[in-house]
Amino acid sequence: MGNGFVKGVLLLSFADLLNKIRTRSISVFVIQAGGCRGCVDALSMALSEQNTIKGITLTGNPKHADCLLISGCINEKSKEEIMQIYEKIPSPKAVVAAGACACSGSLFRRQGNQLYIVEDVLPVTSWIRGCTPDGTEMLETIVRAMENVKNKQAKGERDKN
Amino acid sequence: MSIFLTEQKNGELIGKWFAYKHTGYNLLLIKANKKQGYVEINYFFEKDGNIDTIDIEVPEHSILPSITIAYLEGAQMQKEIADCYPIRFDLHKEDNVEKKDFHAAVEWGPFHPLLPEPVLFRFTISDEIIDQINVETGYNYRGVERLCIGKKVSEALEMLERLSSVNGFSIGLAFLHAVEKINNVNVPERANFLRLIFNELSFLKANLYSLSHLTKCLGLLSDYSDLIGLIKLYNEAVAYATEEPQLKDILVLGGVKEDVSNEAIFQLNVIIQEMVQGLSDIRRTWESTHSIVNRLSSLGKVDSKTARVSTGRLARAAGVYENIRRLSKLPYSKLSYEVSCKEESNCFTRTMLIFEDCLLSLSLIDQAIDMLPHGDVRASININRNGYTVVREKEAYGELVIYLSLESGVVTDIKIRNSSSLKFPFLSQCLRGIQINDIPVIISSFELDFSAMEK
Repeated sequence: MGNGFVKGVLLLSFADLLNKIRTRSISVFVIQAGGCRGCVDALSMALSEQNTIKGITLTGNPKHADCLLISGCINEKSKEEIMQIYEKIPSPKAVVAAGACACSGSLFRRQGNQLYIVEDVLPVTSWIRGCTPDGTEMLETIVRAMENVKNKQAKGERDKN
Repeated sequence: MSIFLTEQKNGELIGKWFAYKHTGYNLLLIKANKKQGYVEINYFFEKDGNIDTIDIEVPEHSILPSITIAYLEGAQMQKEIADCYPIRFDLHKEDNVEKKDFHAAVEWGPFHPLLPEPVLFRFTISDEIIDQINVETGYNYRGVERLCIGKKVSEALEMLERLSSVNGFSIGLAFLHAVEKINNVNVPERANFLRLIFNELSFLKANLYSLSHLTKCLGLLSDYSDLIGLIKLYNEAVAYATEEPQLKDILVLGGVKEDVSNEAIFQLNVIIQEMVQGLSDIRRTWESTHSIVNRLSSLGKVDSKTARVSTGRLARAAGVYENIRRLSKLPYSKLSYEVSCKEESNCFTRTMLIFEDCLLSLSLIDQAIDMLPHGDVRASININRNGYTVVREKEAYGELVIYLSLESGVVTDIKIRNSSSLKFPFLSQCLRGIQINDIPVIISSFELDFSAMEK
């Protein structure tokens, strides 16, 4: 029995049902990989303010997250841990690189501690450039990144069928 | 293979430390340099503005005596050197007490899965009371000091401004003061006043963040929301003077990048002075709420002996008068201000000092804007002198010290010692014997600013 109506009752697979529920809000797991913390401060401020974009919350548990937001430069040591955290986030998931350090390495690119940008480590859905990026822009990007990921997944499923 | 220094050499070094200690010198900075087969270590001591050094050269893989015998506040600086250079320190007994076997220890936090590198708390508890505790840090500033070596002044400045979201401006300013001191640069007066205003704005922001962290730890969500409102007000005000609320890319050698019109700076002042009422209201509420006073007063007590060798509000709350602004090259001497102190250093007195420091910054900004002179904001300069210097400046949480060595406009050596390096060695003794749920409050009131660590 696939998805569909049976005697007027909507039947969905449990995974689809979970996804439907998750469309209501976005939980973001933030990783400050190393840097000045300016990006995380900007995001916290945008979340605390009266903002037109609502429904974004921060979570401390990767298993509850929909989106992984990474700021700062990634080094050899944090690379492994970031990948582990990424694996724990359920699909569909978005990865957002926030700030100059995460997007391009900024001033610290390929210096000293063998630094990586997010793209070197994980498949990035969206980039938020700037040092420091605007908080509201970060919220907007998170929403759009999630939308993109879900659209891609829906398209993939349609193609499969 | 480890090389122990001879007993005579050890004894001489320890003797010198105690000689400085007994003549009233404070430990300012420890830095190291690697040479061929040797490591050079420089200990900087300070008394009444006079700086004296002990320079030693030891073979690689040597084991040196620990300066914590005489100066406990040197523990963090010493650890950073041991992490970066091929030498070790023979920790004395008190240090070894903390390296016990933590059977069935609860590893609590840090709140973030990636934090074990910058800081790791390990402790054992009995009935929710902390029994033993071991707090470790990794690299502070992630080798940015090393990245600066070989860079031009402007490139190094860009990196240093990005070291910390709260103290980045102060670090950049102290670095420029060091460069300007080596090259005998005279900064125009208007630029100096603008630097002062921006410096105080950065203190204000850092202090507001500090208060908001503390409020969050106490669970006072309504006050937290008010403080976020004040931070928003700050951002709104700063937008009149610069597009960057973190005050990056404002400083240049010999002045500031762009002039700010008087009109814009007056607008900034009008908005920012609105904070006085908000801050006073929150402080009054806290002072008159017994539960807050009682809880905070019973936590994070620091004895006066420890406070004397510390810095910032940790010291001032215990009655140690510390006015780092007077050491600055900025025109603070033209303004009228008084630095507050309290009698006993605990979380409550330190928190009250944060409120007073915010109000002091607002008053200094107001005075500086009133006295803002006309003229250039940038001197034309040529940096070609070689030399080194030590600069002491104020950062939001205490004293900042920068050692800088320049050759033909290129950084050849740099060491940054922020206020956290002096405070951190005392954190574990402050956490011992307290309840587990009080840890965030105490850490917040210590105001540590390690890269990527925060509260």
